[in-house]
Amino acid sequence: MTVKEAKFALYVCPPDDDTNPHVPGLAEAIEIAKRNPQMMAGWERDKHFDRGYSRKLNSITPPPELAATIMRGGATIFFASRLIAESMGENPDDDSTLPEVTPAEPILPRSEYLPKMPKLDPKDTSKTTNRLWMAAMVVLAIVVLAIIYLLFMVLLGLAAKQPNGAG
Amino acid sequence: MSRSQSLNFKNLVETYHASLYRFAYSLTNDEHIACDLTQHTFFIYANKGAAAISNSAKLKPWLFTTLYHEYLRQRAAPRLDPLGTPAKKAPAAAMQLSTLDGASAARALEKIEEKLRTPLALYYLRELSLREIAEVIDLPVSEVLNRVALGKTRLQQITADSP
Repeated sequence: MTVKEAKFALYVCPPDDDTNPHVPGLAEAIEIAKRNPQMMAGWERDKHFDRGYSRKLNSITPPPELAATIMRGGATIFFASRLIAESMGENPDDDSTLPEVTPAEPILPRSEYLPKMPKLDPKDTSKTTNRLWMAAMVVLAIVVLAIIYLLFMVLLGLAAKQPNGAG
Repeated sequence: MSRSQSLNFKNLVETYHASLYRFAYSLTNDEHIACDLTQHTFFIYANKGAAAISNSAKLKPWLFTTLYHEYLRQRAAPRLDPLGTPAKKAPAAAMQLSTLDGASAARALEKIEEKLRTPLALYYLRELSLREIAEVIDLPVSEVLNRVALGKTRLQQITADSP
């Protein structure tokens, strides 16, 4: 193994994993480094950097609600799979790991999320009567307006037929 | 999905969601996209992975591979952003190793080209062996080592050169 190959093996060796079986020639490279203080110092520097950077990257933490969100979504998918299996005549009870279906929010009864409509009581005729009265008043108002209009037109006609006094 | 094939979903999420999130964050440097990728990975597992994985030892590499493929798929898809608002990212800051926190460590990774970033992130997250990393990104171990070496050199330059 050349010094260059040994340096490469040490460089790519994961920190604190001096026996990594996937780095070819690692054991031999370490032996070479032990006889070469400069190479050993370089390796120590690299290991220091690798440990530090690895620690920083592993300090990233997921948002606290992520796990719960995933579990809810996964539970829904499992639940849907179970329904499909049942509808196809399979035996979903073979599955032991169906997580509990815990939806994000409790499912509301239908009456809670539908807009509240007024209840119609067939015995209660007061509203119907009121509506009829209103319609009658509107019709009456239209008739009165029409009569006034006709009278106005008749008066205009009469005024037009009167001879001018100067004649 | 039979009793013997499946694993407890809740335990699975509790065990792996943080490490998967870290991997997603290292790739994207974006909290929301990282959350989406992590969620989507578990949903894919819930949908079909639970039945497909019989060996629990393969589970972790499978999750990382699925997340990585999902990341590649999302990256290739056109972004639907009618307002054209850029994703919120933290401003650049000094990147001396001693002053780095998790987010700035991911920002340093973001400056490294894509083909080096993925193996480097997996290398530093230390969740997978080098062979498993090679399986995730579908490359020989020797190529992974080459990319890790190049990426490390670039990362050391970035953390040293930053103001």
